[in-house]
Amino acid sequence: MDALATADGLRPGLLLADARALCPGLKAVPADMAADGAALVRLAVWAQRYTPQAATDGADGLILDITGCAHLHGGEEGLLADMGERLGRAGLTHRLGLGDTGAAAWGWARYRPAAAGPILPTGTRAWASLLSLPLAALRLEEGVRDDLARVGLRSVGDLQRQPRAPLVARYGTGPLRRLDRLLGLTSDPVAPQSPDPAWQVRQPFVEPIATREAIEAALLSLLRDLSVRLEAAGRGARRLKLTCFRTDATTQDITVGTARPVRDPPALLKLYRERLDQVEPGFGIEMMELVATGTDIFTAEQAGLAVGGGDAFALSGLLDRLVNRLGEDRVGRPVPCDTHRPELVMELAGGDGVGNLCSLTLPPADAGGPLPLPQAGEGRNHGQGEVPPLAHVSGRGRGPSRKAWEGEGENRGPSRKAWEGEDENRAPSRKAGEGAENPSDTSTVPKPWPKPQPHRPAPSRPRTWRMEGMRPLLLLHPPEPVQVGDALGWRGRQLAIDWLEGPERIRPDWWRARCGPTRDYYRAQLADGRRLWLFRTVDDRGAWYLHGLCA
Amino acid sequence: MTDTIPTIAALRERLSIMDRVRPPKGRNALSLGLACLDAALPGGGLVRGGCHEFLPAPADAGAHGLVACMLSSLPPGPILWCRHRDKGDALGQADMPYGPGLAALGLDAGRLILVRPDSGDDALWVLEEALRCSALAAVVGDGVLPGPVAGRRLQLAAEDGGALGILILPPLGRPPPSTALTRWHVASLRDPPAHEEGGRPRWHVSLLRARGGGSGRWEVAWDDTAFRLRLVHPLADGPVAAAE
Repeated sequence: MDALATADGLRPGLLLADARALCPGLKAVPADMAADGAALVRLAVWAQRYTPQAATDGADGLILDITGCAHLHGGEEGLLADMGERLGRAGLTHRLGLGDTGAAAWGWARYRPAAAGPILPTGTRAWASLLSLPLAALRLEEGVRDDLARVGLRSVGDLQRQPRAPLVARYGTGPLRRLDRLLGLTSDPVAPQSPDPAWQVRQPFVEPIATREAIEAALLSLLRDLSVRLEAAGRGARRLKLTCFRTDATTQDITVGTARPVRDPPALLKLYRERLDQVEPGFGIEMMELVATGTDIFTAEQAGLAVGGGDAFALSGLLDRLVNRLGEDRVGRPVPCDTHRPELVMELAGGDGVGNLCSLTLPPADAGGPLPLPQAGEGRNHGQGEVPPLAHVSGRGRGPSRKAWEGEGENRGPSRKAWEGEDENRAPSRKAGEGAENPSDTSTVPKPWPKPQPHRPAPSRPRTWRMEGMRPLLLLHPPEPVQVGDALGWRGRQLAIDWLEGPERIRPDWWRARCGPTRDYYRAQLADGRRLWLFRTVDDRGAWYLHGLCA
Repeated sequence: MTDTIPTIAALRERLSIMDRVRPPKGRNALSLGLACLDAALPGGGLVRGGCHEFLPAPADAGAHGLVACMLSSLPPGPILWCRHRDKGDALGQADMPYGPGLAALGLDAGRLILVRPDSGDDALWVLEEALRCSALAAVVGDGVLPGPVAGRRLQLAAEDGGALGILILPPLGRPPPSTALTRWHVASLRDPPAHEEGGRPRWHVSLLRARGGGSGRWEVAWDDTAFRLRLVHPLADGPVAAAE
């Protein structure tokens, strides 16, 4: 009811006919209480710019607890001025009031004397000002207020001067409780407005629950409620947080994530089933709350009709179950990484990459193509033509041991290779026990590789993985220290070495600081046939390590 | 005993399909890439919808190598590789299949989904869930030894999902009997050094047991130019190589 209407004699509760009689030009619009409420909630969220403790208060008001926040806006006067200006600019008629308690601010905003400012006087004058307010400032129910008015109590002061016991006996505790709140004798907390309450469902229990069956049943009903709301908005959940409030005032959170938006309650319950063991009910759970912390647009797909559609669903469901039970770092897809360090070449894309995992559901159908051997060809070219003669030594005919880092560092010029060749190609292949290189080897010229003739269905194309020299099939990380002499000393056992092939020098990534020493890699075959991948650090220590097992 | 009555022959065939000894009509078993190995198996290869066990030698990657070779000829589709190492395993706990090494054997590591559970129970759960999933081309359990009940569960799950189940067992001297369709033993063999045209992966492969089939021993090597397995046993070179 704004000032203009009040001046015309209008007041709330007036019949429309009477109002029209008082004010002939009146335009009548039906009230939309729901929209008003929603607008008020939006306004409360906006008001959190002044303090996090902002909430709606009744159908027509906001309450802000500005304790400790006023100085950020130039003190209490500055804050009120700023708020008044912004509200006015938005075209909202408003009345501001500031008091020591929430109830006092409410009463002061609505029923203060026309001459008084919006800020309640402080100190002893606050008491006097509050006591002079009309009884309506207590925010009493209408019936009680009328009853009190009938016995002659007109102001807050009138009520305060009455003996308390008879008042309680006649009117209940309501009026005195409101009075105490107004005067600051009892606490009057503000429950802040949550900014986005959209994907949140909660269920309090009359009796605390503790069994797994009960928790599952409650969770399913929560999931159903949430699913209805998600469906109405055309969205699906990507991340869900279940909070269990226990009777001992502690909470437990369980979060699950999904690879694609899901809103099917049984499917989501299946994800939670793997994790419900983690819930410790203690003396019981008195409330459960489910929040969809991440949602995405849910595109309705029909399983089974699209090509491979059913498979995609099956795989994403499987990955969700694995990730949620084992943890995000336990499931991953190998991704090649651009580095020289062998242990860093393969990275596992997990975590949020679970969504990406689904992208490998349907590999392109080109895997039946001709046999891919481009990498082998590259290596051969290096071995035959481009490498300076200095590097022409035996064992490089097969080329694998040098191929790797040559093929890898396209940015390195041949000049670089030449000086690297100085020390690294000295003993590419030697029998164990023979100290020096075999002179007859050095004259061997590398043979051209035979043209591949596939006799069987071609293997799936290694699209992203380069075949770099002889790489192990199983990589040990971290490498294990070994001793290499006439025999290989590994874990206290001496293993006879059949032959040792190498070295293949792998330098640390030059673009990274402190990446460890350069390594010389060798492939060794033991007398029992096992093939190992060893390296020796090129530094003062010259220590040997076992880094992998070759096929 | 010969099946003179056609009905009985047909019934036998149906039973062998139900037992996963043979692949169902219209579907092929996964060829091992060598005629003599395939011939030892009644299905003409590894039958999908069942588990096949590979027993490695201690601290040897031979079994992994043979498995990678065979998986490389699978039709496209993701492969779930679940690796578990018990404490006290000869290899320690930190080894994993290595992408460049797999590529050298023809298997694209981009097809793999690597799963590393913490406990053996989790590993069995992963395998069972994965085998039931129809979207995977193959499921590999690396370092997992299922007990009799768990083995049967895996077998049933594989029959549900229709994927190829491969178990690389821990290196044991005498593994317990199982319900798997086949059991192989793979050990690395010495190969001449590279300058003597050697240095390739070379294994001693024994078929210890096959449901409805026999057994056998072969020496095979990976031909890294033709990307296929070939037989290298000197005695087998003549007639068997001709049969290839």
